[in-house]
Amino acid sequence: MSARPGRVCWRGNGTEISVLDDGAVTTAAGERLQSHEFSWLPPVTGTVVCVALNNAPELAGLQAEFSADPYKSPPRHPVLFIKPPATLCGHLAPVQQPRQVQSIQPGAALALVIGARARRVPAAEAWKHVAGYTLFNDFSLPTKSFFRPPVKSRCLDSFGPMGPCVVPRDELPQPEQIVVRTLVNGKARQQHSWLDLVHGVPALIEHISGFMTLEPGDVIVPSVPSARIDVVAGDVVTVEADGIGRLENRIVGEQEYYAGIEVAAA
Amino acid sequence: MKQARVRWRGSEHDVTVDAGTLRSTDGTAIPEAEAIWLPPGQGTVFALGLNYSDHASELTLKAPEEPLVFIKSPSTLTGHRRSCCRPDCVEFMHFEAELVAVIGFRARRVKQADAMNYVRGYTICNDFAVRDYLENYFRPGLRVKNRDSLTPLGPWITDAAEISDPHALGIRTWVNGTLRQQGSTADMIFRIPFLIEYLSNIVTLRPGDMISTGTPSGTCDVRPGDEVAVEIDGLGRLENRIVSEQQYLEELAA
Repeated sequence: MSARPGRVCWRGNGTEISVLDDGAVTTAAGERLQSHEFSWLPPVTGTVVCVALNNAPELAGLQAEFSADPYKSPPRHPVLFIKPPATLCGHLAPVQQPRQVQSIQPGAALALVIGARARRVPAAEAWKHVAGYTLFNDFSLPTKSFFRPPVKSRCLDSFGPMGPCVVPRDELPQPEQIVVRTLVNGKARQQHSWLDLVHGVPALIEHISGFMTLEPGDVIVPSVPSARIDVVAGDVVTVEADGIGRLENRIVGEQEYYAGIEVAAA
Repeated sequence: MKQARVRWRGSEHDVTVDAGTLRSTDGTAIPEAEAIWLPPGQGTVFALGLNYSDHASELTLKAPEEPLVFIKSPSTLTGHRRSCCRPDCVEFMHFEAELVAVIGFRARRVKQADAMNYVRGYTICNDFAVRDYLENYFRPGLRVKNRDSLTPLGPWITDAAEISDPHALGIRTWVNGTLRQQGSTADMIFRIPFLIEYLSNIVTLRPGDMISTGTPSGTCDVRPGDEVAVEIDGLGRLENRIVSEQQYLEELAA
């Protein structure tokens, strides 16, 4: 296993680190950090592009709905959305439950981290542009609609935990076999893999890079689940995958969340 | 004051613009002819769809009951006088002249009455769209609205203090010197204070974030070779040239 890159907040600054084989977190200068000395940040700082409705069985289950208004026909191309920087946070960061909702919904996913600029890349060349993998959790407010860009439901502060670090691509030669599990308070609640993708990873990179240039550190989340479970303040949500690690976040009430942000900023 | 960002002699500079003179923060005068204009801001862009009733009816769509917001990533942003790439084999790519409010302070659950205190300044956006790619999922999608080079911003950010009423500005688009779109920011459905309250109830707005407030009626198809200029009273004139995909990729490789 090679060192896995990530980022932490250490002494008030965003700091690039490596996670070593024994789990030690070290700075570029080789300093070993104790867990109480830092907090995790998203491992990369690029644009996060998520793909919805990309699981074949889930999409098949929605055919009747998608033949009617306002959709009129099922999606012909990948259904993409952006998680803006304000949504992104790291492993062990709190995720807010806004005061106006009874629950929020995690969307556990395996994510691709871009390693080399991808512009108009054909599918056959796509994997060369992937540096590795990380875990992502596309939190959403409960919603059934896919009609308008999901800003109101998915672009809230803290609604995009990512990490803990980036696992180099050569460590995981068969990513479609990786099972991503969602645990709530330690209990397994959901799992899925890339075996059922409508648009596979090479096709997604060809499609996306065909109109928007992907830079190193950008992230593609090839499939966020449509079927969602509900979680509430106090719950701990863990996204876990063999060979990748675990991304754990606790849900807190909105007031507690923003009070914590103010303390951190002070 | 007008603030911009340019690339000059291989590095990026924050500059002030005064009567056509660009001056970097250390006082160096930068000849405009040597400068490459960059987007003047680097935050998240929140863009509005269907925010003028005349444009909504032009698209035979009912005006929305709440703001239709979509997000742009840095990859789509470009600057004044830069090339904008029209994809090959499409029927209709149109310009959209828009007033942009630039956020100056962190804004969380801000009330309309206080909202204008969070605006640092204004700039212009030409929010191009490729209509061929519209689908009814997360409409308008990234393939329509987040394409490389198709969101020019600029030329500069004008201080809020210099614009007494952002909802009383003439907004015009010229294609090859012919006036094609003309409206007033007075006709916005959801105005800037409302949008700041609405968005800051969803997500914390950060300094540098931008709200592009939608376009009036009068959009039309533009083709490679066309020169498109958007003017807003008091904010300047944002000029861009449409190029083909091949020209665009050649320019990037040069």
